[in-house]
Amino acid sequence: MKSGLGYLCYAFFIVLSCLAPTPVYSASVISVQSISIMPYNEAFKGLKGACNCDLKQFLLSEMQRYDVVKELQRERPQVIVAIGSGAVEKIKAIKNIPIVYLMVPDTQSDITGKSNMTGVNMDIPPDMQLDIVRQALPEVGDIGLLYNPVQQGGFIEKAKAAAASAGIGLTANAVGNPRKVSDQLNLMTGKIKAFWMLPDVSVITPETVEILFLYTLKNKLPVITFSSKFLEMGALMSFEVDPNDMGVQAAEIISRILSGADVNQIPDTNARKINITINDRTAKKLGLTISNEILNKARVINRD
Amino acid sequence: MRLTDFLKAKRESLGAKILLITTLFIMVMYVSFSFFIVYYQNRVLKEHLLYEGRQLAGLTAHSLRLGVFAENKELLKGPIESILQYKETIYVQVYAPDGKLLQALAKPGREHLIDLINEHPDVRMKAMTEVKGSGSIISIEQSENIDFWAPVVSGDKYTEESLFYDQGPGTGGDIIGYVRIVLTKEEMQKMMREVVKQSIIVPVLFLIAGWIISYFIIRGIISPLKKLMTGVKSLEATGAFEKVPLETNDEIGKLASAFNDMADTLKQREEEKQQLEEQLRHSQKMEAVGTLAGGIAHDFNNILTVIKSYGQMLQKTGLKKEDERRFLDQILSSTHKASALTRGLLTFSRKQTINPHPVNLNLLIADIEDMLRRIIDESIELEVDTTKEDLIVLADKLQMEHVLINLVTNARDAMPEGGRLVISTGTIDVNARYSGAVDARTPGRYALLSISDTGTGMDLQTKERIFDPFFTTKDVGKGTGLGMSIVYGIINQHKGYIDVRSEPGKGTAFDILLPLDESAPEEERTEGMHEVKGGTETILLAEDDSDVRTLITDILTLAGYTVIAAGDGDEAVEKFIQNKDRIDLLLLDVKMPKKNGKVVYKEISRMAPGTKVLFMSGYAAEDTEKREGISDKPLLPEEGTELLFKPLVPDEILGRIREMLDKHSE
Repeated sequence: MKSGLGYLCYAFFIVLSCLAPTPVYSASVISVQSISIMPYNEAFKGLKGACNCDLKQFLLSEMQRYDVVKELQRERPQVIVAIGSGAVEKIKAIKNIPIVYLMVPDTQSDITGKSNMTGVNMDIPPDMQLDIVRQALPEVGDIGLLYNPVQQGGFIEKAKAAAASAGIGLTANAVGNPRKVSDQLNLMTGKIKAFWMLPDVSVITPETVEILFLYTLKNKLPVITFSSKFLEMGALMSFEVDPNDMGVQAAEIISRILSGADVNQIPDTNARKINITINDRTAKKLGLTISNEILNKARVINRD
Repeated sequence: MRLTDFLKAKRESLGAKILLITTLFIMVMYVSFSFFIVYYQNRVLKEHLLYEGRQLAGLTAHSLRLGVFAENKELLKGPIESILQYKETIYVQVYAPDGKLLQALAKPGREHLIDLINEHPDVRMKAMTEVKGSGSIISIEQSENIDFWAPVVSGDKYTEESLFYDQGPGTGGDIIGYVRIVLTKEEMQKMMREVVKQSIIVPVLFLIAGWIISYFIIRGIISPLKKLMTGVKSLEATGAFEKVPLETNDEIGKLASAFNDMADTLKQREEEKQQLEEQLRHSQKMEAVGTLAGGIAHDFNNILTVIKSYGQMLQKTGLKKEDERRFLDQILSSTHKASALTRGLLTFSRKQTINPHPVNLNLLIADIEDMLRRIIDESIELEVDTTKEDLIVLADKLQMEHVLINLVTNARDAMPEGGRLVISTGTIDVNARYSGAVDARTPGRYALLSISDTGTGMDLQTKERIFDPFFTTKDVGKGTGLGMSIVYGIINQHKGYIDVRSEPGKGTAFDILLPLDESAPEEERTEGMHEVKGGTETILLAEDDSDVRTLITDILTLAGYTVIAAGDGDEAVEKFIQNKDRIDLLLLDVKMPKKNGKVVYKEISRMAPGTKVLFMSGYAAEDTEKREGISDKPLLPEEGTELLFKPLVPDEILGRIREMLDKHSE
């Protein structure tokens, strides 16, 4: 008798299991990554670790023979994650599937005005950056920057406000044409004590980078930049987002979308974690002393 | 004139030809080589200049990138001035993509080129268009310069990704300007002038060195040839030749060796030729002397025959007065000596009639041994060592006695202080393998007669000339120089051989080989065996010498014969025809005018076969036959013929006639 009742109970459990609804958080997510570089891989790693979802990866550099958009439409994932500007550029045509981007600058036009798109941009708020600069270089004085009014107009406004509140003088010269970088830099000579390099491809070119660093070297100006790769060219300090944490941030957004939230209702957000890197050799050459408070937080390279 | 001859001689000189050819060859080689070097060097220098220009243009374009990007003259100036430091760079221009000149700088001292180069805007625009199309550096060669146009390309544009990260893909740079670098060809042309100069000087030096080396090499080759040529000319001109020294063992050395051998052979031939000519002259002289002597002796023989015969006839008539008998004896004695002299002359001239009969050589020696002992001095010991075997040879006994006497006399003269003289005999078989002392060439069995002495001997030179006529080692008046020559002639006539073995101080030995005639028994002949016996038969006498004819007629008539005499061959035939029934014997001289004795006999034989005949001759049998064309074979062996040799003596004539008549009558 006992055994007959046991079999009956087991069969009931099986039937119930089959009839139960599928959990939304286990739905399929496809991550589209333009290339396999370390920051993007780190971001994917953070995403994968935090996302309670069926995560699949499309690496565009390995799918050049395929029409990625069609492939994604055929797969019909519940969410598409775009890692990097290249990935956003590639899949921006998709309107019917929620897209969560990350590792993308805020200035990229592809991410603005898209109802099925939200994510984590790479912008670090100017007040945060200026605060760190002030902590690192208390005597820095005025800071200069060049910007394209079309691309960076909003950011400049925020920067000016942040600088004013931080007690830092900000000389921001607009540059419509990269060829004018040299002229604009010359206009700043004697007025600034440091240069703030903004991520804008309409201003930053290989030539303007060379001009800029030649200029700053000639005028012994520390350069604060947005990528640690310019530290090797002589920049003093860089502020970068944390890719892994951005992956975690993206996973949180995905979780919300999968939970039924409307993607259109989820606002674009900034990176919440900043990596500071300091070129010790440049600091010494310029005779600058970085505060220990920042040094403790930062990654220091070229330390002799 | 001398210069012309010199040049002509040089033109015909093998050395000069080889030297000229070598020089021309070296010149052609070096000119070709120089052209190749100049051409190749020019190409290399040009390629090098083009390569350097392109490299320079590329570097300049890169270094001017910021200045061009910023269109900043100051940024452009520094790099351009650096480029102008390069010695071949004379001018640099930098243009914006739209053709606007951003900067133009010339090397100090070359500023005048700026206007000159700027005069060609079309060329400039065309070059920039070409550079823009190809995206690479181009070069335009001009007469004095080479222009290099290079694009100034911006770096890869940043993308949103590459702006942040190193790994971002590049989008490719844009042409943001153009750089024109003008390089002068002056340095290259200067180097080329130096190359050409070296290409001329070095080959000339090599040519001179090659010419000098060739000269010495050719001289080394030609020098032996010149010596050869000198030797040939010397040989040609004088017959004298100095051997060319063999300095090498190569082809020239072998040629010299062959030439030396040839010259030796020629010299040897020349000596042989001279020797043969000398022998020919000597032979001709001897022939002439022999002919003269023989002719004289023949006639003299006839005269002596007449004197001797009439003397004997007179002796037989019996002279009453003692003085007359003594005078007649003296006449006959002198006649006998004259006959001996005549015989000697005839023997020397080989016209001596020999009367060969089978003779036992041992007996012949024994017969004259006493006489030989009388010839030599008592200080000389004579040993006669003859074999027990009879040595029958067909020989003229008198002649052989003459040989022995002559050789013994010479031996005696060679031993003035005395010594030993050995006369020995023996036999020898001469066959193909015979290699005895005597140079006998006809195989057969021979009697060996050796006469050896222990005298002074002879040197080689004397030995080689011992048989030459008129050669003598004796004092003037003591020898005629004919003795050994006559001996040689006698032995030769007997178909024998004679040789001499002698060394100075070791004596001399003469070896004589005479063919043995073992088939014929020795004839027992004694002087006066023919009984003087006449007859009544009729004899046809044909003799051209009237004295001899008269003599024989007298002898025969006195002996009772009827004589029909004829003076020549025709007359003899004619008289035979007239008297053929009563002629019993023909007595014919062999040598006669019109028809010789043989011809006469043949004609008569045809008319009257079996007619008895007796020939007369003053010449040796074989010589007579050949000379007169009587027969190719010896006359005597012919059946029915007999020969009577002059000088004739009455008893011999009568005896032989009687013998002939009686013989055939039996």
